[in-house]
This record gives sequence, structure tokens and C-alpha cells, in this order.
Amino acid sequence: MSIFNQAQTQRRKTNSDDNLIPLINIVFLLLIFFMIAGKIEQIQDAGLTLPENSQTKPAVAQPITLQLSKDNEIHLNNEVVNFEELPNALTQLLQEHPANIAVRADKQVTYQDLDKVLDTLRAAGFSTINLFTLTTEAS
Amino acid sequence: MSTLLLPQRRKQSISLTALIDVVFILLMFFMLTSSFTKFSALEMQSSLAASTASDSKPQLLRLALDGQLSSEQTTALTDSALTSDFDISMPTVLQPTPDTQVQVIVDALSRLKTLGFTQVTLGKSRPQANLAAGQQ
Repeated sequence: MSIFNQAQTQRRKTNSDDNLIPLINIVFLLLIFFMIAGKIEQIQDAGLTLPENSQTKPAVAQPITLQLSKDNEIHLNNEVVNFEELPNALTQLLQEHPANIAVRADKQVTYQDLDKVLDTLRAAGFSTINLFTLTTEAS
Repeated sequence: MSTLLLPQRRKQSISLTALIDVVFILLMFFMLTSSFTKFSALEMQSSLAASTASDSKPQLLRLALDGQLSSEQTTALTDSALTSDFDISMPTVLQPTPDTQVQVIVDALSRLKTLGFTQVTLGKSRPQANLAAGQQ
């Protein structure tokens, strides 16, 4: 009697596992999709809405990132920096990294404010400034 | 005793539930961390680098609030006027008005890039007062 019971429970176990195989197939497919199609990256938009652009030249991540929000708050590599402290912070970073910088400015920022930041960057000695934009489909 | 137990263990199959747990955790991780937004970058040489590349005087283009480009002579330049009146291989300085939003500047920069302008930089913002005086 006990042998019969064991066999029955074993059969039940294998049956429940068999039912799970389609689920695992789908979950594996989803996993592979997210692994291949998605890109793992640090989310560092401090409430920014980047300007849109239909150009296809992909952005290369830069060691130094400056974010300018629409309230004119400056984040240098994810740290809040006052405009007055910016030159000092930049020269410190420039000693560690090559002379390229990524600027992520909110699309509502006016040129007046962007120009001040760009001027500071030029004065600090950055040769290339990359203005980051969101890629949209070309219309 | 041990010889009796060994073949019994081999017969036991690994439960798939543990595998699903791990796969689900991996799936959650990749779903939450991956992003599908694509970024592009508009490269601008700083005035420092541009001046060393060429000694010639750069050509000036003005950008109005509504995104219209104008030169010193003509306003609202069309694409054909831009390519015929300007040398696309020469350094070009884009001067937006102070209140121009970054989106408008980006649109103008990408428009110039698609027309073939290679060395475009952003210049000092043009004061509104000067523009009014120039138009009078």
C-alpha cells in the first residue's frame, strides 16, 4: 500500500513539473528579450526632459556629465553644484579625466543659462562638448 | 545501506520550481534595470579648439526664438539659401537669442548638420537690444 502511495505522489510531482514547462519557456523568452534588447545603465536624469532629435548618431558615454535642469540646478556627476563652485569642481575633474564632457540640459532651459555654463566649460579647458538629446524617429 | 541509498538518489529529478524562482528573479532584474531610450549627442567644438583649426573668420548665423535662421543681410533663411550663401566647410557660429530654448537650438544644430555644416559652434548670445537697434 505504501509503495503504491509513493508511486502516486511521484507521478503527481512529475505531472505538475510538466505543466510548468510552457511557463518556463515563456519566462526564458522574456528574459532573453530583456537581456538582449534592453541596456543596463545608470538612471541619472534628475527630472530632466531632454530635447528631442531625429539624428541617429549614438551618444558615447562620457566620464564627466553635467546636468542642467529647468530650475537652473546644476548636477556634476550626480552631485549638486553651485554655479560659483563649478569652475573649481571642473578643474578637479579635468585632472582625472580626458577633456570631453557630456551636457544634459532640459529642453526648457534658455540659452541665457546654458551659455553661462558653456562659457565656464570652455574656460575650464574642455575641447569637445557633447549636448545630449533623446533620439526620436525621423518624421 | 549506503549502496542501497545511492541509486535511489540518482532517480530523484530536480524540481523545476527552484529553477523558475531563479529565472523569475533574473527576469525582474532585467525588466527593472534595462532601459530602451536611445540618446544621441551633438558634438560642439569649443571656441578654443575652433580657433586653432582655422584662422579664418567664422561665418555668423543668428537664431531667432521661433527657430528661424538669419544672416546679417537676410532673415528666415531657407535650406537652399543656407547652402548657397554659406560655405559648409567653414567654421560657423550660431548665435541664439538669450531666451531661445534648448530644443530650438538642438533643432537648428541638427538642421545645419543635415545640410552638411561640419564645424558649428554656439556663440555668445545676442542681446535683444542690439537686434532692435540693428533693425531700426
